[in-house]
Amino acid sequence: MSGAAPAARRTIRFAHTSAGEPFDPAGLAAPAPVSRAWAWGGATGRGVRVCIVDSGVTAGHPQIGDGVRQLAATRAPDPAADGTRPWTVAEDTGGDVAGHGTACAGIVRSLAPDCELTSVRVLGGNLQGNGDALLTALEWAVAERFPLVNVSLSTRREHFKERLHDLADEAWYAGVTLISAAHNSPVDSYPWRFPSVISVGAHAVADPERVESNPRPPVDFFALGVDVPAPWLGGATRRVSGNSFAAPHITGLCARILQRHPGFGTPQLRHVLAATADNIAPRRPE
Amino acid sequence: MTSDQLDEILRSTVRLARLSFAAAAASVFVRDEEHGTLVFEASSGVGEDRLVGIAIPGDHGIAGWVANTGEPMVVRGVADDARFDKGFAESTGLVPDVIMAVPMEHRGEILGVLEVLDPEVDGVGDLDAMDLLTELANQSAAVLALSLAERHRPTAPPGGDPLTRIAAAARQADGTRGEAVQALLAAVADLLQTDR
Repeated sequence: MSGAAPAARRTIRFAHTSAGEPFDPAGLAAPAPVSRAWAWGGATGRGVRVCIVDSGVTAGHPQIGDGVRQLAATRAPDPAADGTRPWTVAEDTGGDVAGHGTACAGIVRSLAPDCELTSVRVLGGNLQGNGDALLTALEWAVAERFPLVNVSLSTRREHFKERLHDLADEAWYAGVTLISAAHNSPVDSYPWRFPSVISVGAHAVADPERVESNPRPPVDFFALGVDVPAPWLGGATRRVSGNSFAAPHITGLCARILQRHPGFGTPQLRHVLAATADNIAPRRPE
Repeated sequence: MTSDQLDEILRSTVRLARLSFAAAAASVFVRDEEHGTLVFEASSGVGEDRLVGIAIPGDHGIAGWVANTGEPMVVRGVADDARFDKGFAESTGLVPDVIMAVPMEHRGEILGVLEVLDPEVDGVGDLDAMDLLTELANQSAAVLALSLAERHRPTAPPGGDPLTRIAAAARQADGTRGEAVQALLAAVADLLQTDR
């Protein structure tokens, strides 16, 4: 644990970010506090496969290391029999032109240095933030049964909502946990908005292991999303802020939990994160 | 809305953004979907006279990410970034250390990016600063959407057949606006149907 929660802010928040509120332990199905030592003590994410769906990852960055499998959602070069060009996931050499995916991968690695990273690029090159690329990448990650998938982006396009919703449900049943950054603005976007997805907003307490359980859904948790040191393009390090960078903190902690408790799926991970959160109010006497 | 009116509103937006954060500069980029670029539409502060009209790749860097995902971001230490287009930044007279970028979004469509360089956010905090800039961007985005819609509207000869002009305009409407136009036309058709 990382100390007492900060006092609730007096500012009016427009966005899906922490207001510093406590979480009522009456919402936890545990008779006593759950310790972080039991949840992830000593774990480094060893053997846990993590998929990063983002802008790609800069290979060989000192804070990420080698061995990151690089893939991209892309359209088949030739049309199928029906004339369409189906989407697929293929090996990629495009790297990261935005820096965002590299930062997210580095944040996961900073908390779970021994996890196995796979990057599926859905932005950059000719992808232009295409919703079909996002769907294709998530479908592939679910089919490959990655236990953890970090999705620090979302779409507001309604016509992707139903397919993403079905996919998030499929992931839940398949033991694939989707961890997604909540949109910074108070708008609905997907997939973070679905209850089958662990959604993450930002707090500003400079502690990468600080987790706040949100008493006001739909955002599940807050993690460090302000002034986060993260790897960037060209082997550099930057300090970055945004909900995008909060989600990989939760992904890294989940990788640690799964090393110790490999049978956990989304409901167990969500409950362990809530039960070990830093903002749980004192328990009332029975 | 005329092009001059839009320019004035966007110039006001970037001035307000720059002054609000005591920033070195602020800019509005507008997405050019056809060419896959982001185009400087207005700028205030260092380099403002050299930027307007310049296009940058639509998927690169911080502005590219924000334009493609709608997620705001603050990045510090940008000046040292080997991949940041330092040559371009130096040509504008400013190599920033901090970039804060938020989407200009209207009805779920990302129209552009509002970016401030070297903002002072020490007394505010990054989260509140992004909230504030996002609200400012949203305000301008509504105007920008209106202007872009007018820019892409086909010009019909003045005094031409009204039904022809309506049909031409309806064909150009897409997305949510297109659905609303279709609903309106259906309602008008029902209203005018004589056997009701």
